[in-house]
Amino acid sequence: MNGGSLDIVGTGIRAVAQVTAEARRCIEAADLVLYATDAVTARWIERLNPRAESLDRLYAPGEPRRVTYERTVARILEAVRQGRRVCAAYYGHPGVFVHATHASLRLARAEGYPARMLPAVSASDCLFADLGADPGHRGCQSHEATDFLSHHTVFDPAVPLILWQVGIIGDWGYGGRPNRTGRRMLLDKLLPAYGPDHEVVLYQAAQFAAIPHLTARFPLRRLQAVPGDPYCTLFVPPTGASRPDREVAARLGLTVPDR
Amino acid sequence: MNQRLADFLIDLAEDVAARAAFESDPAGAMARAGLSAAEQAAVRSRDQRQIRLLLSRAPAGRLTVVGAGIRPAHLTPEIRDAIAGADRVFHQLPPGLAAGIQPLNPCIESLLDLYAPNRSPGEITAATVERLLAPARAGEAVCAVFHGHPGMLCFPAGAAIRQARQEGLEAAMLPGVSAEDCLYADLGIDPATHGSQSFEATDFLVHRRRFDVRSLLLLWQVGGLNPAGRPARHPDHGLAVLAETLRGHYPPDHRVAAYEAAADDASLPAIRWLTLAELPDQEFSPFTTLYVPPLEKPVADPDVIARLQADVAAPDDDR
Repeated sequence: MNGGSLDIVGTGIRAVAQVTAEARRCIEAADLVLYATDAVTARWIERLNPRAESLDRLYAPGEPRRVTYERTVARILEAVRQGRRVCAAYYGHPGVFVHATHASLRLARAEGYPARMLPAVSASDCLFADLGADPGHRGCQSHEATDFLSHHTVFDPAVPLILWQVGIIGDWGYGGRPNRTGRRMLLDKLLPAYGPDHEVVLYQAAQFAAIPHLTARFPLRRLQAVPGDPYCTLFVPPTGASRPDREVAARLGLTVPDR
Repeated sequence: MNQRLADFLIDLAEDVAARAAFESDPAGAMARAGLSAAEQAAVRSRDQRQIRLLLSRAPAGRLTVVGAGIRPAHLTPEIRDAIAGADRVFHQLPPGLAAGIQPLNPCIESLLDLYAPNRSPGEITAATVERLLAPARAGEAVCAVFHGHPGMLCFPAGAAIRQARQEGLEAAMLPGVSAEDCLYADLGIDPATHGSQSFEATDFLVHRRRFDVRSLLLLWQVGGLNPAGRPARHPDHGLAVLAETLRGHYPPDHRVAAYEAAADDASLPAIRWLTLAELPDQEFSPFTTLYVPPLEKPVADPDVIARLQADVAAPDDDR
């Protein structure tokens, strides 16, 4: 091989404050950093390593996402094939909500280049910390809001439910205004399970140091009022009692207290 | 008024032995007196103005619960700052991670002694909460450092935060890199593509959690599925019950992965693929997570898509 390699890292959600020590080392040591991050992190990366180039310039408004994604993979692989130690740095966790990183990793490995992905603090990590919703209690269901509707996803109302990108539900980059049909259809899907008065939380993680996260709590029936913001996430707390199944518990040898 | 600092200065004035101890080992004497990092720094720097300021203020206690990640290289700047800036640091970390935070603060204590074998999880949680909150009630800034992410499968962390807030103390949690984050990076999976569902394995079985086979399924702590200590391949062994449950949704040759994240920077993750039929024959460590891939690709309902797109195309008049 020609010395080319690929490290894919995440910079966390809170700019600079959530970069892991190993991600920082990769950014510093790279021959070329290709980044798709927020502006603060972008500036920080360029100060840390001047051999840095934004992937944002591969994105043209109105173009299908697939085209951007293919161009990104092509740019990353091109640099690796030139024999450079490439670090691709992404906002949040580099493997969550990103197609191009997984594809680049597979392709680089298939061509024999050393390639790895390092984990990072994700948006759901921030949500678990800020809302105090430990998925160890009752589990967790996590879906992109439009997929949740169009895939007719099966869910359990006794388990916390996270719906990402709820603010832009039904919006494929056409932009502009909130999709009211999408909100109504989501409400129609959730109402029978939770009822109109069930309190839900609209959550937005803090993106900058010393800025608090945002939460708005309101009854489910007011879902239409969710702002058209791509960074807003809907957290639906579980409803109803969660009773253990006595037969399963007995088989496992667990005692279930009488209620 | 900061009584702790005042008492320390009274001892220095009155007690010859205390003064001798301070002169031979200032840091040790101050730590033994329970002075906070800020108080120790003020005394060390002989900054009288700062000492007067600290003496005049009632120390405000607070609790910051943070995650150290899975490997030492996962430490982030905000976690380092939280550890370095605390008066007292408590941790529940394996040796490698504990060594990584040691240089950050002179007042670091392990919580591992609370994990006596005869203690129930509830008793351990209560003891941990008490250990963390006692200094916070006395006005200290306490930082508690947990393995991975403190808000994921970590009941003492959540309980301490809730209790602190109930008592009017300031409390916050800072996320760390979790085992789940490592799993997505190591298995090359994007959980957003088809959605994800994750459960503690025993909770999943005992509560018969509903899930969608077209989204990925993660089951944590599959190594803890045998609380009664049944022999391997016993029909009521937890893994047999789990295999039976999953077989109700997936074919017997559905391939799943037993995953364990690398524990240090030099190791590789442990990934073992097996079929559901092989599940009852396995023996898993306490850190093993079972990854069950989606059975089929979810397909978007064209009718739903059409209705959503009709909204986008509709004129603004009726809004």
